Amino acid sequence: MAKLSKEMMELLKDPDTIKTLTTTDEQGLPHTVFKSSLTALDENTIAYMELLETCNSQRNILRNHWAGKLVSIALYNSKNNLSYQIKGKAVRFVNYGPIFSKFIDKVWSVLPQADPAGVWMIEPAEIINEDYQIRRKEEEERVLNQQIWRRFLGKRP
Amino acid sequence: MKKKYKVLEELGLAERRAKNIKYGEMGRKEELEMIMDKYPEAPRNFILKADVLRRGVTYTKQALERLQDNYYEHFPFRLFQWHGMDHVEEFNIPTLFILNDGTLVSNILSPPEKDPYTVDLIDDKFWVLSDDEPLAEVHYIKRPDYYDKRTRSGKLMQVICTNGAPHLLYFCPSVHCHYWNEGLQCKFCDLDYNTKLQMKMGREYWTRIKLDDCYDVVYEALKEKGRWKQCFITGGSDPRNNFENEMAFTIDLVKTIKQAAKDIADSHFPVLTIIAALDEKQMIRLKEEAGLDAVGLYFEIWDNEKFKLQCPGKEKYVGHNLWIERTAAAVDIYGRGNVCAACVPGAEMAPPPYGFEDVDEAVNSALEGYKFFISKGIVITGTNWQVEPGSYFYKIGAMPPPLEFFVKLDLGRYRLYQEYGGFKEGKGGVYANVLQEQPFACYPDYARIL
Repeated sequence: MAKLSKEMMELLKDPDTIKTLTTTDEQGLPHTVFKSSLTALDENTIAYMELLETCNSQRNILRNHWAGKLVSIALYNSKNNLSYQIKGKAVRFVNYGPIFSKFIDKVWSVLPQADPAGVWMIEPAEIINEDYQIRRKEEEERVLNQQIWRRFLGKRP
Repeated sequence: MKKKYKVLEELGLAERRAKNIKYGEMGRKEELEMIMDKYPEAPRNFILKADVLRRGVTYTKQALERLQDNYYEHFPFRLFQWHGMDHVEEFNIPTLFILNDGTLVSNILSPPEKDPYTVDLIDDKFWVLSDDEPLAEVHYIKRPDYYDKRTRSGKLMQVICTNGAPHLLYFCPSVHCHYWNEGLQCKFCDLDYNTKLQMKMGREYWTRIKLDDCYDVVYEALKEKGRWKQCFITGGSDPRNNFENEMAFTIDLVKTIKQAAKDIADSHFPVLTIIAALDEKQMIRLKEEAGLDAVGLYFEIWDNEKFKLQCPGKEKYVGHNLWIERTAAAVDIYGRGNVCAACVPGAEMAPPPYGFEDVDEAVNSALEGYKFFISKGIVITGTNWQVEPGSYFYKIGAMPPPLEFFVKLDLGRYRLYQEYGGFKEGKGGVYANVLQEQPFACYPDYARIL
């Protein structure tokens, strides 16, 4: 299990952060959607409110729940140019109680007609900084000599 | 009792015993499907590439006519002919084509007896077909901007340096190999035959190129933005004077290429040179005097006895054991991942006594060598065996090995890199950065999924 840093928690809570959730279907096909309600509850828990009980994301998570198959969350914030991917396990679905109430208040403040299914709690398993410079450095450490052999030559703007 | 194959067993490839199918015994489609079913872990485009390299292609008239457009790059016949038949017609053929996943495939023209694939136009797009069934869409690269320009001495630039792959400048400064003078050329090689053929055909062609011309080509080529990444030098061997003549020219050539890159682009241009297994002092000189980035020492075939039979020139002037020893030692000079040990995949199955009769025995032998090199941080490169006119093997009627040989070998090499390439230990994996684009073999394709 991976723990969310303070920076990650702020990023998740920031309403300006673009947040997507990717699940996979029976054939392994990816299904990616925006989930603006994605947020951090604490350093071990990410949560979002699923608005539609019968939607593809919900069915995919349910289908994969027993096998513990991970979902993927992508975050991008243009203000501070932060970009992360979090792979995590959807561990628990709640549709009552204080967490549910907190989410539903927020949802109804923008979508008063919504009848949400519940809240998925996601335990982070892996956090990947997707910043280009960082990823490039990592790949250059993983596979040798890329700086020598993989650079385009010639003048650049 | 079944023979044991140690490396195949270690890599989990021994259980599925290979079938020793003679060329032509099984239909094209049947063999391809059989191998795709038997090795589901191998990406299908890679299997198709291996088979297209083995069988070659033939073009329909409409496809060929379309490709005469000078928008496309055309092969200037430098180095080997590559084809399974003499290309004596006037039409031009691109060096390679590209599948939709980016896999590069060499364009090898083949006679009907090889039962080649067909390239045709369907709805204005190029496709590779098998018995009229479209298998894969293919694309051709744009002609480099420098190709039809001339150097200050009037030489056509594409003959000085070809477009070996989309981002690779490919020099072949000498298209004569001195081993041919003594009849000691490698048995699969057509180099001098091809040179004579091109000259007989009256094509613009020279045996040896000059340094000033090389400078002009690099200077001109690098003006094209976002195109070139690396440079490759290959060509015939010159063992005279303990390879000193060849080495002196190579040092000057590398310096020339690098100077041109610096002058036009202020860039370090990485150069890989194929050269004989020189002694330690010579290897150091190449690096220190020329600034060479990587060396390729082509051992061609791992089995000692087969090497002696297939590469009598290399055996006479260096010898198999010393070749291997010097290749391993070169890592201390050039670093992990910057030394290539290259071979001719397929030559292991040349007609006996030159090769093995049994696919598994041949693959196992090759993989023994790959394991030795990879565990020392050496990259395996090379080009799949083509039975080319003018080569000894062509003259004795050799035919390519079964498709299964190539697929099993490719999977084995891939697994050896995973195990011994340095990835597991996190010390930086070695795999073909040094020659990352190779339309004549499948090793760079498997590198892409490593």
